[in-house]
Formats: sequence, C-alpha cells, structure tokens
Amino acid sequence: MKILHDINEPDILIPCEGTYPYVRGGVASWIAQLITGLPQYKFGVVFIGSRKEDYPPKPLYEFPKNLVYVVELFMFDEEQKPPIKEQNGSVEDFEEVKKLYHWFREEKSNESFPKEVKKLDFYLNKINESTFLYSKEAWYFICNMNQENASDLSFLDYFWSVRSIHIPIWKMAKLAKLLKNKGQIVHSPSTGYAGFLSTLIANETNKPFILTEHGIYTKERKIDLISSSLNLYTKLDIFRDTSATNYIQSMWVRFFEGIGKMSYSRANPILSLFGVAKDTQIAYGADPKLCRVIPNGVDIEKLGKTIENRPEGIPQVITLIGRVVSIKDIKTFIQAIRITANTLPDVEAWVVGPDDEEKEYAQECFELIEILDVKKNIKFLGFQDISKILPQSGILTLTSISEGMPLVILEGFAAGVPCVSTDVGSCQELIYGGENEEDRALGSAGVVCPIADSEALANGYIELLSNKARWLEAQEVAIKRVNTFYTQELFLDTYQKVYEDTFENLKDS
Amino acid sequence: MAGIGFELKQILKERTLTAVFKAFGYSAILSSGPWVISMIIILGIGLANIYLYHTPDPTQTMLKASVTYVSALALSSVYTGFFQLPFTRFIADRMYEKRHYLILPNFLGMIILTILGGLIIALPLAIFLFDTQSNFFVLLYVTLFIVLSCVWIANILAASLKLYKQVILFYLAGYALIYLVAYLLKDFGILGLLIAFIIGNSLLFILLFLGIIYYYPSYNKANKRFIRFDTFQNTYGKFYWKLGFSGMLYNIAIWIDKVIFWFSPIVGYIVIGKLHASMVYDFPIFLAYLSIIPGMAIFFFRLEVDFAKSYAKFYRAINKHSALSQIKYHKQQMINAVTRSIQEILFVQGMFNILLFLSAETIFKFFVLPKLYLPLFYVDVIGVQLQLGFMSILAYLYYLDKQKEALLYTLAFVILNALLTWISIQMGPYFYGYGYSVALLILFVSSIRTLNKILQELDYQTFMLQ
Repeated sequence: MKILHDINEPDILIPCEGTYPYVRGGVASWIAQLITGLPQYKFGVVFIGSRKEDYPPKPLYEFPKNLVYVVELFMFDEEQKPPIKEQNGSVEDFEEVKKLYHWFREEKSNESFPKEVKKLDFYLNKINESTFLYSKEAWYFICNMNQENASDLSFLDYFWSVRSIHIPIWKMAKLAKLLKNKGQIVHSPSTGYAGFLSTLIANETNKPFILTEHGIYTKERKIDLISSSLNLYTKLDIFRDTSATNYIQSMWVRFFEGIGKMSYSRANPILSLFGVAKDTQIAYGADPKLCRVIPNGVDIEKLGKTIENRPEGIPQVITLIGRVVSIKDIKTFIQAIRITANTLPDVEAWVVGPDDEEKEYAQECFELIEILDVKKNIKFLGFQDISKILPQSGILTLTSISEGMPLVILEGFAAGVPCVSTDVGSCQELIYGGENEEDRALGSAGVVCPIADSEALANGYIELLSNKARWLEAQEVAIKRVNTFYTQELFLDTYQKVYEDTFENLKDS
Repeated sequence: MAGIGFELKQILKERTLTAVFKAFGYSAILSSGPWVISMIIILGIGLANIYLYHTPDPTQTMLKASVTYVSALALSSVYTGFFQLPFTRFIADRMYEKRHYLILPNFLGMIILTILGGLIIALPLAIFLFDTQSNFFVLLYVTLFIVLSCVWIANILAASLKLYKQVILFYLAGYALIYLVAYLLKDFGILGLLIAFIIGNSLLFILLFLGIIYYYPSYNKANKRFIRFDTFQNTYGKFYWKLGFSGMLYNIAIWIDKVIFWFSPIVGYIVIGKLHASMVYDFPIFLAYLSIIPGMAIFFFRLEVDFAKSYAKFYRAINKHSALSQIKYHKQQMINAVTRSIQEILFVQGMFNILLFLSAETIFKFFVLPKLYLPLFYVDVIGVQLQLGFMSILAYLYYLDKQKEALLYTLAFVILNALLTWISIQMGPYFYGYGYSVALLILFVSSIRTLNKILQELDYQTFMLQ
C-alpha cells in the first residue's frame, strides 16, 4: 500500500481495480473523463492491482487538479504476511463466517446481508488475517468445508485455493480502515474487489456507495477462469480428474458472485452503461428499483471536426481500435479480412493498439497472417491518435467476445465512421438503437454479427465498403445517434445530478 | 474492462509443501545406544569384579580404574553432547540435498574442533580432579577424554550413515583389545588399565574413521577442500543451537542422579582424586541398565520400519495431491506406529522386567550380592524402562523437528532428576532410586501427552504454520 498523491481531502473516492491510472482503456478513460469533466468535485482514486510488475512504473495519466488523493495496493505481491503464530481462534466467529457463506450460496438475496460481518471490526479483530491463516478453528473450518463439498479433491490444491481466494479480503479490510475517512461518497466502477472495498467502507461509515458497472465483473471473471483453466496445471495428466479443476474454478466463481452480491446489496444507485448490462445485474441479484442506465458520452466537438478532413469517397480501410489480446478475438478479425480480401483485394485493415500485453497471443496472430497470406492487407500500428486515424477509416470494427460499452464505437460515430461489431455488451444498442423508441427509429449505423463469425463480419465489411448509399446512410445515423444520446455533456450532466442528489441525501440524513 | 487479469496458474504454482525429510531422528537413541552398551560392558564386568572378589583388594585398582573410566565417559559425552545432534542434523540435511561429498571434510573439521576443545576442557579438569595423582596419570586421562570424545562423534556419524553392522563389529574389536591390553599390562596397575582403555578406544575410533572414509569419500568437483567447518559457519543454514543444548542436557540428566549420590555424605565416598562412587546406588542401577537392551532393539526397529515409513507416506500424500481423507489416514497410521512402538516397549520390557523380578533373588545369589540391594534394583528396573520410553518420545520429537519441545524436556529431565534424587536421599534408604524413577515417570507421561498433541495437530501445523 502506497500513497502516491495527497494534496487535499477528496469529496468522492473512486476505488478501481486494474485500470486508471496504470492501464488505458474504457474504464480508465471513463474515470479520467469524469474527473476532468466535473472540476467542482475533488476526487480520490484507489488503485487495486495484481502485482507491481504487471503495470508500468509510472501512471499513464497526468493527474488533473481536482484529483487530490491517489493510493495504490498490489494484491498478490508477496508482502508482509502476518508473523506465524499458533492460535486457537473462536468457534463463534467462524459460525458467522458460515452464515456469510450460506448467504453467498443463496440463489436469491431474500435474506439480508448478515449484520455480524458488516463492520470492519469483524475482519480486523474477530477473524483477522492471522486467525484465518494460522488458527486451529480456521483449519477445522477448511477441513469441514472440504469434507462437505469437495472430499475427493486434491487437498493441497483445495487448501491453497481457499487461501488465495480469501487473502484479498483482509487486504481490502486493511485498506478500508485506512480509507474510511477519505471522501463523503464512494463511487466504484466495478463490483469485485473494488466493490467489496466500497461495501466495507460504506457499511463501516454509512457513506453512500454509488456503483457504476461497465462490463459485468462476475461474468468477466468467469471467462478469465475458464480460459486460464487450460493451462492451470503445467503437467497435463490424463489421469488427472478434470472435475477437480472445475470445482476449484467454481469456488472462485462463487466467491466473485458472492462479493458481487455484497456490492449489489449495499450500493445505491446501481448504474450500468446499457440495457443488457442492467438486466444482467438484476439477474446477479441487484434490486431492479435501484438500477439505472447512464451511457458513456464522447467529446463530439473535437471528433466532429475531423469529418471535414475526410477524403472523398469511402476509404477502403477497416480499423480495429483495441489491444491485441484474446478477449478482442483478433484472430477472427484476421480471418474476416482474408474473406473480405477475396472480394475487395485492395482492402486495408489497421489494428490500432498495443500488442505487448499478451505476447504469445500476438505472436499467434502474426503467424495466422502469414498462413492466410494477408500480410499486405493488415497493418499493426500500435498506439495512435484516433483523431488522425478515424478520418482515414471506412469502417470501425470490434470483434471482441466480451465488451461493456465500447467508447471507440461512439468515437467512431462522432467522427462519422460506421461500425461493424460482434454482438457483445452494448454494441447492438449502439448500432441499432437502445431501449429508447426514438433512438431505434434513427436506424442502423452499421452491422452487428454473431461472436467469432468471420464470414458474417466479412459480409458486413463488404456490404458497407462497396455500397456507397448504404455507407452514407449508416454514417448519418451514426452522427445523429451520438449527438443525441451519447454526448459528453449529457454524460457529465447526468453524473453531476447523481452526485448532487447523493450529497443532498447525505445532508438530509 | 475493469478487473485484475489474474492467473490462477500463477497462484497455484509453487504451492507444494517443503517437507524436508528429517531422517535423523534415530540420533537420540543412537547417541545413547553405544554409550549404554559400553557403560554396561565396563561397569557390569568392572564392578562385578570388585563385588565378586571377596578377598578385599587393598589397592582397589579395578574400582579406581572403573570410576576413572566412567568419569571420562560421562564428561566426554556431556562435552560432545553439544555437537552430536547439530552435527548429525547438518549431515542429514546435506544428505537430503545429495551433497554427500561434504560429509568427510566436515567430519574432519568436527574432529579437529573436538580435539582442540577437548584439550582446553580436559586439561584443567584433569589437573583439578586428580590432584593426588602423577602427571603421567593426568596426561593419560586427558588423552582418554579426547579419544572418547572423538569416538562419540565418529560413532554418531557412522550410525546416522546407517553403518550399523560395522559399528557393532568395531565396538567388539575395540573392547576386545581393551581386555587384551589390560591383561598384558596387568602389572602396571591403574596406569596399565588406563592405557588399555586408550588403546582400545583408539582402535575403535580409527575403525569408525576408516569406515566413514570408505563409504563417503570427499572427492567431488564441487568441493576442493579437505577440511571444512560448515556446521558452524552457517554456510548451509544456521547452527542448531537448540539441538546442541538438548543433547548436552540429556547427557547431563542421565548422570546427575549418580553424581548426587556420589557426592552425598554417607552414600558416597572418595575413590580416587576427587572422584566418588556410591556403593549403594551404582551397582543396582548399572545392573538395571542391562535390562534396557531388548526394549531398545524393539523401539529402534519400530521407528525405522513403521514410523519412518508412515511419516514419508504422510508427506507424499500431501504433495501428490491426495484427498484430505487419505492425508488423515496416513496421519492416523503415524499415530498408530507411535502407539504400537510405545505399547511394545512397555509390553516387552514389562515381560522382561517380570522375569527379572522373579529371578532377581537367584541372580543376586549367583553373584553373591547382598539382598539389601533388591528393592533398589526393582525400582531402578522400572526407572530404566521409563527412561527408555522417554528416550523414544524424545527421538520422535527430534524426528518431527520439535526442537523447542525436546530442549524443554531435556532441561526438565536435568532439573527433575536432580531435585527428586536429592529429596530421595533426604527421605532415607528406602527411597533410594525413587528420585530417578519418579522423575522419569513424570517425564514419560507428560512427554507422551505432548507428542500426542503434536501428532494430532501435525496436519494443522504442516499446512497452516509454515
């Protein structure tokens, strides 16, 4: 835990996990936009990361004036474990842990969150890290849980999974203790650890807790777990019981679902960026009455001006703005370009974004390009200024298998670029229109395809690039939609209203 | 996308238990084993001689020689007791790392230190103890002390390298030579006997030394030095202080009741220089020590065959990803092995004791011993049996690397044995021997409880406290 920046007391504290100020991307720019856009509030940021070495040495964002407090914590750094101390632990306290687990496992959150485990005192004094790590009661507890639920499993794996899953809880509790007097409102951009931290602070101090979920955290963790399970064991033993791996996976999933539920049970309001996300939140246990959609907005003025710089005709360029990582499914994009190039041999495909995050995956992409012989069509441009890239693009595309509300689509719209995207997150709502009747009436600003369907993507590309009337129509819809529903002003005004209301309630109570 | 891109693989990696296989648990019993044997040989026969020769020996040569030898045995075992366990532990650790080439150079280093330290300790000690004796006598005593010290170090190493058969043969050869030389030099009185002890033990030491060199040569690309002092230099981990002290305390404890008797008025008397003996106490207890042999053999067998195997299985079960029920099963097997070994010690030793009790009068009559000693002998036999039990528990404690507990118990052994022996002397002749036996009864019972607790919590300790 390290305080990076401390010049004033913040009004609003934003705990965020693996994003601002060390990682660029949707959530990070959302946070930056919010902070710079609402200079009347002073903000504090709590960065929660995995290991120090997973991030750049220096923050990627320059701190705005009204960002007055920044603290970082790396959760899996092998740091000060409490000194080993044999102890007994108390049976009663572990009964309360049992209640919490029961609550975690309940399908519907009919029961209210067990009040005994609400306060920080429980995590810092009753069952503290040392009790969990070293006490006999904790040992019996783990053994009993193992016997009840997973008696066939490798106990060594089970034991370490239990430890790995739980240790962040105390890291968060300690952080909550340090931060409980920072800010009057806690605003978390995700559930997960950041949401858990916010819940702890909110329960301890009765501060309001605003949750804005970009993707659906719990779902994203599930994807992570399933994809990591393939290389979970270095030795792939054919005699190894795969159900064991699955059980350990499901332990993690249940944990994330559990802490997600904790966030949902405490946060008010529970915000999301688009309709589908809201429905998913409700399915994961959020109260529909508290849920609301506040979409992202983009700076239309700056990008709108770039339309003047566009060349005549439709540039035969398909641009994918995103990191070269598996979740963006760059391989399907490469395949789609192969199919497109069969019809439009001169088509160009630009991948704009860093390729050093998943080196192995990037290497596989390069090999695929060689194999499919599209080397002359596809370019990797690295990190670029989008206001220069967008005017040269004919189509903006996203082939991701998971997204929240991708800002790039809106930015493309603002710059007059139609979009071809997979059907993930809010893409459908952005391209075909959302819950609002008026929005849907505008028409389509591109094409939405199923996930991992290179042929459908290619058809979309060809359709737009070779049909000028269709392209111009899509461009018009795109510009209209972003100007009506997704402007930065609208976004900031809505959040200002949310904050004002929350501060108002705070005063009343 | 918010969230930490964590990888489960990273988290699960390197999560195996680092269970160092501490195959040195035997040392506790091995360090006392040969000692008991040699003590029995010398005292059984030496003292028996004195009591058997009804014609009084005006010079008391045999008695004086035996007492001198016993004092050298006791003092050198206390002195080397400090090094024996840390040294064997050091060797066991290196063997585990497959660095066999470090054994010989470190053994040489250890011997050099033993000799230098022995000289510094023994010379003033001998001058003080034998102020009435000639300088030649003092010189012989110092030599004997050092040779015996070297024998203990070589002995414990040879035993922990499992050269059991050779060790026994070497002991027989060494003691045969003692008798031979003693017979040849019988005209030189006590000096002749001392020289016999030195020559016999020197042969024993040389044979052990040769055995070690033969089985563990030092040549290796990784080691160019002939003599090393790694045990003390923390090159491969810290010096095991707790083991050192518990080894020394144990050797003090097994002598302290005798020393108290020797130096108490009425029961003890001067034999030679400042050395004392106790006619009442010594003979029955040394005779009782003879009875320990069958029990010790059984325990040794159980420790090596039963316990060591289930201990290894327990750790293998953990590291080979077994289910909790299997881990618990192997833990139970370990507990069963301990239970079995202790039951067998009590049972076999108990049977043997009953035989001894029933035939005690006959034995005493055969050796023409006064029946006055019988009650003391009975009590001592039981005390010795309890000491065997306690020694076994200590061996388990060393095996499970419970150094702190072992140290506390050996310290308690010293204190209880001294205190209760002193009280027994105050209470009068009927209570002689009870001090020693009651002390061991207390220690045996409470150390069993400790061991039980440790074994019950072994899985907890293994997983949670490391």
